[in-house]
Amino acid sequence: MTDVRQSGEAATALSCGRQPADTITKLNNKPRSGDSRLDLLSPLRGSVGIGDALSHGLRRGLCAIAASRLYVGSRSNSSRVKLAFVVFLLSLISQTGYAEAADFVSDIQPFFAKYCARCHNTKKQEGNFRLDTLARDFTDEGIAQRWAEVVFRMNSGEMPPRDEPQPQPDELGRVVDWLSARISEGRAVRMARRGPVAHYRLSREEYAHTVYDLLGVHFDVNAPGAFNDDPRWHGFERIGSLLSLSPSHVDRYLQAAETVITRAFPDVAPKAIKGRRDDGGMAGIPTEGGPYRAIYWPGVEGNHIHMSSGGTPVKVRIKLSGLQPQGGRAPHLTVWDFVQKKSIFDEDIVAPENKPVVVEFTTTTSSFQLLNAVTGFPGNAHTRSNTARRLVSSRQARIGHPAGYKLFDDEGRPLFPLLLVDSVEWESVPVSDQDRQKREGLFPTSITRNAKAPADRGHMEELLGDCRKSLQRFAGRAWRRPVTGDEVERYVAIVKDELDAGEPFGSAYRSALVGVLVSKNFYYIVEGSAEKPRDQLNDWELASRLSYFLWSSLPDEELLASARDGSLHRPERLKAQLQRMLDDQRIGRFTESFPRQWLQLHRVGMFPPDPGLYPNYDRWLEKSMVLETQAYFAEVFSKNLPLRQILQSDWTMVNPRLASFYQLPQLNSSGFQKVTLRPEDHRGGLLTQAAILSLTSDGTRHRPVHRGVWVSEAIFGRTPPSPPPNVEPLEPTPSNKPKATIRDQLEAHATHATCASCHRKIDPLGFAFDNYDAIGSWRTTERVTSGQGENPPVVASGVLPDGRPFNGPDEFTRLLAQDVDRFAEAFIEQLATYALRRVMTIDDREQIKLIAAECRRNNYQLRNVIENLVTSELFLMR
Amino acid sequence: MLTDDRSPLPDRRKVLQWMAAVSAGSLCCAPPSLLAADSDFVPQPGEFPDRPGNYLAGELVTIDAINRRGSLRLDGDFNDDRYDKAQPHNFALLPYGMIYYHGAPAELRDIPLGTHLHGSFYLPPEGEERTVPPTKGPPQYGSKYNHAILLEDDFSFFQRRGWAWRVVEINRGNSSRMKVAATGNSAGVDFEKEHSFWIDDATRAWKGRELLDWEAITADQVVQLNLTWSPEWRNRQFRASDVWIDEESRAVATERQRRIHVHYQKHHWLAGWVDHVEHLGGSRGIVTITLFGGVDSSLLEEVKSKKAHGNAVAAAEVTLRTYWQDHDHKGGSIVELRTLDKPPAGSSGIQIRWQTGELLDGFRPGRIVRLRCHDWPNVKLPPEERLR
Repeated sequence: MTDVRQSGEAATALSCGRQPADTITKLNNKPRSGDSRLDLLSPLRGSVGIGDALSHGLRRGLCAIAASRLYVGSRSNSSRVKLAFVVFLLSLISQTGYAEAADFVSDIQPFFAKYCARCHNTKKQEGNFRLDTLARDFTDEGIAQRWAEVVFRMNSGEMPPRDEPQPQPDELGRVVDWLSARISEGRAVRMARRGPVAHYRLSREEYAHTVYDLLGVHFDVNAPGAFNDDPRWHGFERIGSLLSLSPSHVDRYLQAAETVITRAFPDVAPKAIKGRRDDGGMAGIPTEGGPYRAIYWPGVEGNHIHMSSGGTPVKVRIKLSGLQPQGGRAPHLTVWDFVQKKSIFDEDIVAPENKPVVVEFTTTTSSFQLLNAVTGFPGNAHTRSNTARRLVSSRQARIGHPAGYKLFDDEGRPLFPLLLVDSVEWESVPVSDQDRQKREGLFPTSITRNAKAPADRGHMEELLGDCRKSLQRFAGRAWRRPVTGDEVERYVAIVKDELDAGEPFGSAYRSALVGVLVSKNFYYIVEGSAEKPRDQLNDWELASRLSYFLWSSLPDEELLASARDGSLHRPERLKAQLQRMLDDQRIGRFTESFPRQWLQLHRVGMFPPDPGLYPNYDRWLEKSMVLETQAYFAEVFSKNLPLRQILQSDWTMVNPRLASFYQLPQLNSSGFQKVTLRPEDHRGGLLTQAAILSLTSDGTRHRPVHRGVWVSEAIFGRTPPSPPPNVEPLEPTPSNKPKATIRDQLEAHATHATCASCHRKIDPLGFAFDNYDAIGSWRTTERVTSGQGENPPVVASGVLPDGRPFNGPDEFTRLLAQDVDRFAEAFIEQLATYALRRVMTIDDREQIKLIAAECRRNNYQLRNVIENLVTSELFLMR
Repeated sequence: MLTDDRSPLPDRRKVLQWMAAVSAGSLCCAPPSLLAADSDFVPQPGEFPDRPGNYLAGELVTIDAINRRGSLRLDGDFNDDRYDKAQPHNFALLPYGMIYYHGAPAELRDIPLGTHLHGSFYLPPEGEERTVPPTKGPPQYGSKYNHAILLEDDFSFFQRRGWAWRVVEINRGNSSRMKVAATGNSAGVDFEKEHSFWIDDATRAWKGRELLDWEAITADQVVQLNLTWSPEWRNRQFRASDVWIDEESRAVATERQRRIHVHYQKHHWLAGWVDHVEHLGGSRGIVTITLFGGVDSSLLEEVKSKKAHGNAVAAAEVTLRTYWQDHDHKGGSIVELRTLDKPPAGSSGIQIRWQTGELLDGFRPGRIVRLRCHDWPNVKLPPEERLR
């Protein structure tokens, strides 16, 4: 996955985009109002009206022009330099008029005057660069890049040169902060630009949900070669300006559409299959003396089970017990698709030997194998080959080969997490009534799927008329809006062309259906009108925004009906639809997808922990970490809890694997469940969850700075400046020195002025979680491999940027929870980014503040936050 | 065997007297637990017997050396019908069953067929009732005591009890006989009478390190001897197969057998059983093992002196066979070694607590294991010896 954060990269992606001949309207980056250069001159435009911004921009432009004309070609002359500087100041002052502009005048500008102007002014342009004429239109990519270069040079210590007066760390840090914030705002503005018509391509995930809700077809968008990865911006994978279209996308959309249509309307109904393996997937087990149960000890793989499903959905049922050793982990069933090399089912299994459970799942794979995906089993291959693979009962006098590993103690209790598999059954999934209903009326009943075109012209026209009606219905559903007759005719023409080429009627019609799915109208959410530019969404667009926000899919019939009768935008109607949607089971897509994107959970496991340092870490733990955070968010949603509980709580959601990892009391059943936390558990709230603590670490150690940056971004909604280039890595403690924590090393390391000023703000946010190692385990001492003496104790104290001290993660999260307004605002901004599929800009801040103020009345209860967003002007505007 | 040389036929009374003497002698010198038989006693897995076995003697006629099984032609009892119809007595050695040959610990494979042995036997242990196939033939001539805790040749049997034979007279002729008188520790036993054995030019006479002809056996020598079959078997008459005529020859024979035994044990490792397992989580644990007796004391001393270097333990079966010990043993270290003052019969008196990171299924109470010191050979045994 790519995480594009530079607007330059985004722009490249856009410019490289290719569009299919019949599908794409060129992205119009024209701003909503006014000249883009002038309109975007002010980085703080949000606090004034468009007209004001225009006038300020004009004024600034005029000043800049004046300054330029006055001093072009000037030579070294101190009075002129001074004058030039004064004019430069004037030009800067003239651009402002807002609260933050005063900061520039009082804090930033003197800095440049004092440390930079002597070499980068009218008279002298060291490096062919002058600061006095550099505009502050950070929304202009070229200008922003020049300012970024300034930040880069200062960050790296290159500027001011060593033989010039050097700024104090605080001075330097303040300037870098200010510039970085403006550059970031400028980038957001560029990314959020919308023309008269805006196109937002469906993400992979949305495509899958859309085709399922449209036709009842499960299409695996994550299968190898199915779809390209979606680029991300701060974890969000639905940002319209990043989701460009390349030839490979078009090719894959075509393949996907053919697959989906063929599955929905096959020539011949797929053959139903059914089968059973009593040996639990362990080949060669005789049935005499049984019934035997296959033993899956940790790491053992069963034999491949072939189903010959031909890609059609098959329901698999596995009857098994899961024995958990005292104080150990629960066994974990993974069903492994060895063709696609991925897991298709995962679950911790806790079920007594005499009370097996049945787990079931649906898959389209044709073969798989079972696996007890738990680590910690000894690895001697010879002994493993001797270890028991079956048993009748753990009470048997002799279960295993004496030279195999011992699986049960002398009282029959499991020594390892063991799966005892009784049987594996599979059966084709018949098309459900619900899915059949989705397809109703989309394939004319008058067409025999293998029939050739009739010679009788009259009959032919009648059949084409049926096609026309069905295509109109299908395109209307797929494109989420009314379809014109002309639009339909293009697809009726496809049917005719195919018939002329000798294709059977069914095949010809399917080609037209495929055409509908490869139209831009399907895989782009389109907002706006080229003919009548407008700022408001119409009801059809609102329906799509709402459904893709909450369901990651197209609007259902009820929502479309509200759009059709033009009532959706009415507050009471909108609220009613919203409540219905929040109560629909499809809301699970939101509670799964939003926290994943907002919290950047895709980063969990990006740097696989070193098995030598973290032997208990495995794939399922990694997945469980992510699932915990998602289940936690889902619980906050379903119980409509206040946002404060996202920061601090005395409960969490764990499965047996996480309960064991967190050293909580053993669970008695499988799956995620809500547990109450004790103070000694040192958990509670999002920030102490293993997923969050892991995603900010690398494979060997925790990274307090990364944790601090993450807290700053996700909780405070503020992205700190990028680090300077060529930062020296932390060196291991010399062997003759006492062992030192990462914190000790960082504090000694941040000696550069800029580093120190930033780290003072970032690091405490990360140090608060030093009690958690790189995978989120609690600790009181930090393991240090080099140096002398004992491992040093963890010090998790610090001071928040506002001066409030804390000691440890509990106090830290308590302080955060006390300042929930700030978090709520940041949260709403993230929610709006997800819902509106664009980066929030400074223009949106006022709206976000209004929404936050409204939410405060309900103590920021999550469902109310969503409702306030959906009914806000921000949501209803393009 | 013990016949009056004035009569070619055995004197039944004398024979019985000899048997009584031998049996009494065995009782006198055997470990305390073997002193008094309990015919109904059934050995339990994981427990050494706390009472004596039943004395049986006979000539070794078949062996399954790998599985520590064989059969004895039990000594005759002057019964013609028995001589005609009795089948060999099949037996199996208990896992802690001991064998002595030439005065040193031995394996069944070290004992030539035809050697006359003395043994102590029990009923089959619980769960092992079908290990030894029932003896065919008239039931009255069989014995239900078919699991041996001890087997000894005559050399070992008498020498270990401090007895020997003084040669009274050698009579070489058509019916050559050697008349002997018991000597040594015979207190309390009527063993003063003279006895005679068949002897001929096939009899091996051992002197010092030499093997001599039977002419070297002369009167007044104090000898140890091993016996074997003779045509008068039914009347308890035996032929002397080997006669050790001086102290040095006996010491040489013992030492030679001791070396064979030590060599064998170092390759096959010391057998013992598991008393208890402490499970420390996953495959980690501490296994308490009692090593079996019947092994040379030097091997036990090595276990004590080398315990700091770590040991390997392999799972075995009651036959003492292992699976693929060079591969499937597990390493560990002795965390405690205890020596019992009065070990029961079958026990070496050495009990260890051995810690390992990889417990095997065979490490369970009552199950058999074999232990290797760190510098003993770790070799693959021949396929016929390995269990599959």
